[in-house]
Amino acid sequence: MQTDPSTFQASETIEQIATPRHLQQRCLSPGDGSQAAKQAIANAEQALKKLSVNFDEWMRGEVGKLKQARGAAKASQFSAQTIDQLFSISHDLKGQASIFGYPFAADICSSLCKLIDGSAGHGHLPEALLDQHVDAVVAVYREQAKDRDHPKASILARKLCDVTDDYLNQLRRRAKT
Amino acid sequence: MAKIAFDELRFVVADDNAHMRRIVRTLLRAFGSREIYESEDGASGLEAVEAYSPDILISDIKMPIFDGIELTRMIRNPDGCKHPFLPIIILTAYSEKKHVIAARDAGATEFLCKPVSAMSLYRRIQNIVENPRDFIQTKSYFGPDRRRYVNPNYSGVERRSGDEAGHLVDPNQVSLEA
Repeated sequence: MQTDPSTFQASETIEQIATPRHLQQRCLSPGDGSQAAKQAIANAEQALKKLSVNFDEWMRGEVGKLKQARGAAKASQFSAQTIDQLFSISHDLKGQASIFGYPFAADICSSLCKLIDGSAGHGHLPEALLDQHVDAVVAVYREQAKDRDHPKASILARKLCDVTDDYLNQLRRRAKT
Repeated sequence: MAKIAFDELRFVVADDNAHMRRIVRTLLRAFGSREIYESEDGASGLEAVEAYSPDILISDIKMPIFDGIELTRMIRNPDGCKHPFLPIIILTAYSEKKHVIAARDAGATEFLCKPVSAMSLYRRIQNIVENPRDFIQTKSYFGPDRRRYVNPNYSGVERRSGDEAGHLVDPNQVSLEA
């Protein structure tokens, strides 16, 4: 927990400790490493490119899990456990879909996470909006909408983000009154 | 910038998502690392840290059993973990400010948002190896110095014994016991 400066007592001890420098000593060699860094990054990008032959298959699996989680959430009438599972898969896709080549799916999942997180405290998850998010991710994958300039995917993602923001703002306003 | 001998660095990667572990492992191996251990939840992450004594831990936040923030807190307890100074990179899709602050206040060394790129991961590791930050110990915090820069306009009380005395505490003498 961070110390609150306004409550700070002059007598409180704050020690500064020298961190062991063993990584510097063991892993750094003198000289200009900028070329080595460029090479290492290029190697890693190349390795990721090789790995990318799996990405469509991985994306298919994750989209399948998302659909399944939505089904389980509905079947349980949105129990806390199934909503948590839906959030978890959506959150994974938020972090991974761009790497897999589906940046709009990442945007939509980011919005879905925000929707689930923001609605949770108000005890109401809007089912239609949730469905639209999941269906949009399925459509982005089905249509292989990978480019950032894909017109339909772009509009779809932006609309869902806007509607979610509006909905959550309404919830907040209602909670205040 | 000096050259980093990645083959000297041992990593533990804690993430409940197998694809993400594979991606991080691919990047680390391409950098030149050979020793990369994986765990899929916070508990096995802590076990891996104790068992393999890594040089760097890369951890997700949202994981089963206990999350990456709790894992960081446990590692930063000198009375409970053998490696309280272990550099920790939090790698997460939680990009909101509250999560960045939670990770920082738990004692994370670096914070990196998914999607991860080769460049961003390399830069975090480089920063850890080349510019290790000193640690701060208070009653409620033990971890890397959260001040990333010196504010020339700061006019408040100087609260750090090391700042005032001009010397630092020996890391071997660290204990959080009251």
